[in-house]
Amino acid sequence: MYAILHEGKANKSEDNNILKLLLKELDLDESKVKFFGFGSKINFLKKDNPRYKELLTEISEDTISKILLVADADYESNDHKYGGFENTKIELNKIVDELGIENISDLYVTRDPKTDDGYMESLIFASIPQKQKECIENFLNCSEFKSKENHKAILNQIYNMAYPKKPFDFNHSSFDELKQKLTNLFN
Amino acid sequence: MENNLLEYIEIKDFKCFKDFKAEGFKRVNLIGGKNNVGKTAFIEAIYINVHSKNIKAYIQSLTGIKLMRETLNILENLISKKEKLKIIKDLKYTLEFTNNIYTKSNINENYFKIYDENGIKEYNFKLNDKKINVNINNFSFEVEDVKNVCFIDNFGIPNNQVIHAYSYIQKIDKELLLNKILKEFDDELDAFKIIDDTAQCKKYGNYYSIVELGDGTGNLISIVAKLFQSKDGYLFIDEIENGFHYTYLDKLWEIILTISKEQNVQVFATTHSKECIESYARVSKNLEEKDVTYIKMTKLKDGSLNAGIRDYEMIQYNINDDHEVR
Repeated sequence: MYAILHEGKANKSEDNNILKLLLKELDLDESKVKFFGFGSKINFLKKDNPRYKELLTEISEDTISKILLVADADYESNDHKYGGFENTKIELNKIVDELGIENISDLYVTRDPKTDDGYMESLIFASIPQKQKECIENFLNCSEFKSKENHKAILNQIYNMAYPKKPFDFNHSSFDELKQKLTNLFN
Repeated sequence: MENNLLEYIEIKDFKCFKDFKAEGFKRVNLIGGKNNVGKTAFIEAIYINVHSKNIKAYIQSLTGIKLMRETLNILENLISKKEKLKIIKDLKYTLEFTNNIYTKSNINENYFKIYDENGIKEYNFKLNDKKINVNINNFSFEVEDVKNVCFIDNFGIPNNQVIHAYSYIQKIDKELLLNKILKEFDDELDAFKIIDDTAQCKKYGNYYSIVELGDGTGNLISIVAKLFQSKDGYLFIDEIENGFHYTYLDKLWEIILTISKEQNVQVFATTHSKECIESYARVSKNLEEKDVTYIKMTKLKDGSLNAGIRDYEMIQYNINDDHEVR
């Protein structure tokens, strides 16, 4: 089996939902994947997290053979150590090395590919037409909802209202890197 | 428990185990895994390891585990009045079945090997610091029970063992506790007594032998009584869920977790049941009882066996996130 480690809850989060939709889009067998929901990014950085303990146990049991870690870049301006694409990549690589799973692991840092910051919602947001994107950005910039969770929730709501029938344009180039990482996981 | 808590085990040349190690055991340990991955053999090896007190106890453990597995065959042969099985008339056979076994834990180290060369046949034993070599012609084949090391196999335990284990409840005046537990299990059960050398329960105003009641009643009495008998020792339970409706499993775990703590008993139990594992996780959380593990036995790609030990935190994580851990 393959493991995908992501933010939010396994089976009950937006991140999980998008990853499953992408697997379906790529015709990859979801039943071969075990999802580990880490909640927030900070939990990825704790080596003694029970999710890592479970993951290592399942590797030792020959159950898990390859791993993909999917964590948000967030913003360097909010967190100089762990925020932003490069910092996130550095910190995740560190923990992968500490756990001794570097030979079977790959990373994907979720972000707006153009700005190299943000989260899963930013990636989705990057896939919609420029005009609509600007409208939503203007609204979010004017709103008082500054916290990450508020921002993400509103972004989701707006997106779902604007695109109720076709939720994600997985053919958009924004998804290419993640699609490639998921394909590699199965190879 | 600090002094007698078995924390790790090393098993060599015993049944499906060639060279096996596992560590991280706690006071209560539930063992799961698919068929034929050595769940029962695993608890049998630990059972043997904790029988290093003397040679008679060690022989009892080596032969006892074989006899338990052969219970049905023994009964079938007795009932059909065929020639008795070799294992009944010949303890030598059951002992030699375990030739070459080696176990080591933080408590004991022991082995049994047969030396058979040049017309000389010897039994070689190691019990911790003591090495014993005995010519087979001089071997007594006497056995001795270690009272606080108990094994409940998947058929339960016979009447005489129930009566013996119950005496440990009587000695500390806990008869009412057993009656209360039985009442909670089935509100039509009023009391447990030994009448005419038979274990009996009162139901609808009359006493019935426990073999006439459901398997669950007998198994529950066995588990409670054996927990008291195993004070400061070890209790092994094969297929713990046998006879219990899944709705009673929470109560069963509550009993095991509570009494094993009070009586300082280390428990190793096997299961095939998802409900049983979920119940174990739920009750240990409710009781805030963290001295627990779930051990998943698996066969690795190279054919060797592995014990994946999950501590309290991992058990809770797996259950909360709906991870399949059977």
